[in-house]
Amino acid sequence: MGQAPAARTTGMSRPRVQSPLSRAARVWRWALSLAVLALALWGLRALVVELCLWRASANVEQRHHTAALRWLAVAGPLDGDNAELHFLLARTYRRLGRFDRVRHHLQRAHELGYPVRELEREQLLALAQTGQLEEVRDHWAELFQNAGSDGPEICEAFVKAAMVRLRIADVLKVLEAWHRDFPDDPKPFFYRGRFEQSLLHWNEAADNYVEVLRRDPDNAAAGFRLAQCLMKLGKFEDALQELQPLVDRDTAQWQADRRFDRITPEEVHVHYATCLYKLGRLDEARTILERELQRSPDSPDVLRELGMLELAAAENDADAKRGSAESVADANDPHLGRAVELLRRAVELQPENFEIRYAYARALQSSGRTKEAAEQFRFVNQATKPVLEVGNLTRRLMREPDNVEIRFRIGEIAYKYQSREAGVRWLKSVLELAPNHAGAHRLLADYFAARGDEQRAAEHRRRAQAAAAPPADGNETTE
Amino acid sequence: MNPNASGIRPDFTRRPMNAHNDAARSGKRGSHLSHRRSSSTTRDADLGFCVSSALRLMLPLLLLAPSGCGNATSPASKRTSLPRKVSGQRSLTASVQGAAADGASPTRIRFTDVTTASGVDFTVRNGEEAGMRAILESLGSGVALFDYDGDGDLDALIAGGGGFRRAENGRVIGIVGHPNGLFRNRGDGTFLRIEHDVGLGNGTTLPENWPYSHGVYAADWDEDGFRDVIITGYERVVCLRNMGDGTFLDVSRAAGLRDCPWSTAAAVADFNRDGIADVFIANYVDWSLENNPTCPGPRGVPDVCPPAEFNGLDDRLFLGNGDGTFRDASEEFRLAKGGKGLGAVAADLDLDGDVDLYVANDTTPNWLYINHNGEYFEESGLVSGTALSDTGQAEGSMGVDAADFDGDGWPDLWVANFESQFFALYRNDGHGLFRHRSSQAGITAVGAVYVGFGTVCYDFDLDGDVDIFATNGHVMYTPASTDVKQVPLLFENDGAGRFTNVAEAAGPYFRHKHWGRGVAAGDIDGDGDIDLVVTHTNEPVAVLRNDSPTGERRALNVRLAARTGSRDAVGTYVDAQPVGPRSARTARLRRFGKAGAGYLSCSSPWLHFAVPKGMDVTLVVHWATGTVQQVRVPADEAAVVVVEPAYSEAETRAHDRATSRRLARH
Repeated sequence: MGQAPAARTTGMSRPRVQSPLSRAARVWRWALSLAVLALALWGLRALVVELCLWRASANVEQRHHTAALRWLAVAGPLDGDNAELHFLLARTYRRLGRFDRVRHHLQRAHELGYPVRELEREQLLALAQTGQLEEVRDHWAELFQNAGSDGPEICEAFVKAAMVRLRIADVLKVLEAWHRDFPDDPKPFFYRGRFEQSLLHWNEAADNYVEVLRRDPDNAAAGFRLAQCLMKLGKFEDALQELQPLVDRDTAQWQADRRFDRITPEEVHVHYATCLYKLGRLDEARTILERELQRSPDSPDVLRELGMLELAAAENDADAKRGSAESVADANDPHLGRAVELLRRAVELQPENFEIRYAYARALQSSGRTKEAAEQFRFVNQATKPVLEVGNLTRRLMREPDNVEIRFRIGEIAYKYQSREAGVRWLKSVLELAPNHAGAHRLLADYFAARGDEQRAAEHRRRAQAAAAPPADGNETTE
Repeated sequence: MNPNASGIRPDFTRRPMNAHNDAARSGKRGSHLSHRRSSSTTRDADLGFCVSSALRLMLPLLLLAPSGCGNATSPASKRTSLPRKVSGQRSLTASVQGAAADGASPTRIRFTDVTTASGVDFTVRNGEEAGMRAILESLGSGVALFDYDGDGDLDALIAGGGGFRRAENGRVIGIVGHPNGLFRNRGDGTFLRIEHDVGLGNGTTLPENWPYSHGVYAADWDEDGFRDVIITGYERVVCLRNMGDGTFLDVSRAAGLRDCPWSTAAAVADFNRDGIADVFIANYVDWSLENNPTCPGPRGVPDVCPPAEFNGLDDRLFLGNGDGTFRDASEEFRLAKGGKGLGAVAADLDLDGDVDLYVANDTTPNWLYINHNGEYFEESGLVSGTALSDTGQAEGSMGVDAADFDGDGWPDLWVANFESQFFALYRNDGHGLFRHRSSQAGITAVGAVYVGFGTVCYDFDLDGDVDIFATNGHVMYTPASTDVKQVPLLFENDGAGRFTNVAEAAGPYFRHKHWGRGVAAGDIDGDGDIDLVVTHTNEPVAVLRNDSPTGERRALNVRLAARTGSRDAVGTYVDAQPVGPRSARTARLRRFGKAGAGYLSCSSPWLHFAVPKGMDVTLVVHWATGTVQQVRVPADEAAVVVVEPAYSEAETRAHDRATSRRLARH
């Protein structure tokens, strides 16, 4: 406001006169420009989205999932309601094993009108990858026929399914094809290793894990499994070397490594301690196990290993006293007392585990508690014959993978004498093949009842009773 | 909450939500593919191939199996394998199989393979050529070292094994035995094969009736001073009475060792303390030509079925009647049922004066029979700690022996086990309790890659402690993890019961792989130290002469002749204590009179000591009858026969005191 009079007084420039008409034209011009710009931006945005989706799609096809996610991250803010965007996100996350996000994106893609057939295929693959094989059972042919770039996922899912069912020939065939088509992929070797390991072929399993580590030197799962095989072969020094880098990992590394299938730091530490203990380095092993026990006071594995270590320490003490003709472990040896206590707790937590019972019996016997030891020995004696059956049953099951009764017997033995959890896995596989298997339902009812899950226990109980009841239509039940 | 609901399936699905999904809940799925290091171009090319080759493989399978993931009727059964061969620094199989390299530590023990020079030219056959892949072929055969002709040296009798008989149409219709090999020692460690018919079926008179043979055991079961022979095998036990004139008489039928469908180990001892030799016979499994399933081996081709495919057979205990015949007392002595016995050792394991028995079973728990004063056995394997591995697993046990490895005076137990299991050393704590000490004793350091069979425990290097030899070889023709042939093991004792495998340094024989089965030990060349005769399947028998240099000790071999118990004095134990100013520095050595030890084989009955040179030795013989006898052996004696005195313990002591005084005066 103060400047206008000054301009007028100087008279150096001619004052502009703005007519109402020209102002309106300018407004229009500006509006038009803005509209054009908006239109251009709109078009450009769509173009950018299309470009991003195209690149993302190409990257997904080429299995460059990180790059694909980068392109999708660009497209997301520009067009959050793009059905293809969500579909590609779902596919990428599925490939990466991040199934927690898959559902959301599939749902969004569906809401935004993406073709249901494509979405169903993604869903099937996700189910297959997450082990829900019953759902996929009738669709393997379809999946293999339209594998696209999902070959490895389909192969992996199929191998897992076939391994659970002990379909050896199928497992080997698919692994062979998988390896031939993806020679640099460590996974076929990993699964071959798991397969050989399950058959107790330690050397062959170890060779396959070595192949995995050649292709993926930081693959912790392969390193761990290799160490397990080496331990079985009595190569504790070598196993120690394989476990060392895993022991040295920090929490962040554990969390970041999504390849570490079902292996926990605790397992690694327990195995590491076992190697030390087998090599006679009892004190080092004890330090590790004590630390693990503080972290997981109710871990049967830690309790068992520490208990056995203390038992060995007591026996070493007894050996040191050699000279007298008899050197039975001293019942007052502090190691022995600790061994008894630790193993007692382990037995409480896993009463079905005959190996823990055997160690406990030995500890009790060394402590002079022969009556209690005899009770534990009785259980071990009772377990020995059925446990020996398992090898034979497994061989038979390989020949007859659909034989429900063999499968049930393995599950029953595992449940009663080895590991409830392992038994339950077998029993569930029985129900996959024979949903009305009375025996499987009965044991599962026991299992859930023991865990306090009355609802599921009741359901299995009901189904067990229904299956055991004489069929009204004359058809026989599976048991 | 159903975790699956948030995991995979959105609402558009037409199917209901599935059961819970652990994998989805935990989010554990490998992201290996994102870490693949191959180039994108390779990957692009791979993708198409994956689909096509997987389809090529899967379509026939899927068409045949409408239910999806494969089917038992899948036509393709030929096993294919991934390229697993690992070479270079991470080669595992190579390093594990070469585990004998672990034993490269220096040792005095030296064995020289003198097979050719010895004149022992014999091969045990198992009938492999028939292609039956029967479990019968897997056991192999053993060897016995004993003085059959009474000339004072050790002769060798080797079980020939057997094969299959075919009909004209090529079908296998029967099982036949191969001739056994009898080799007479000329006295210098060289042998002459006895070709003429001495009743051993190595002539032409008995081939049709000769059984497929496994074990060969020599014992004077008729108490006439000549060592007789028991040959175990498929379907029958052969009892050959030594006539004392260099011939044997087949008295199998009269002897009465019946109900032994497939006999393996045997042990002759006076179990019921009546002064007459009894016989324990272990039986294996219920295989027959009719019960001969086909089992796919790990390489996909048919191979020998594991023992788990069959039921175990009952073992037998036959008590001697005193006239060369026997009666079955298995029930009376409470023998356990079933079992798959391959090895047995009889000795006084709890040092209470009677003969106990340890039986090694294949894949089932081992049995420890504690003898209750000759009245019955109490099976106490589990409670004693000798039935299972240290982790409570039943193992595939074959060869077995008993010896005092740690010098505490108690007989420990040693068991050769199957691959993926450790050989077991059960340390005797007394009170009928044992502890699994393989790990602490250094045994597990060689790894669990051996299939152990024949084993003997002797002081090979004459340093005063007991070392261990074990011969190995697989039971399958195409094993998954190791070779059929394996290197033997030779564990040298450090004197405190810790062992190192020194096989590789012990001679060329130990550096080669063999299909090992039986082994017998004894001084075959008369130089005092312990030599070995090793049988292999389908491979010539090896004679290994002990050429270990002697140190400060010398060999002293002691033969026991019992008057009251069985003549071979099983259950007796002997202490050797050097006499003289340095005696305080040398520990007492204890050896045990035992029967059956090893695998299908029979070692020399002489007890072997390594005593300080230049010193007299007092032998304290604890006879199974309870009599304790002391015998002083002069420093220049290398071998001595101790006959059980015919008088009481008190009288013995008085006699020994008098003897000692007499010796002292001289």
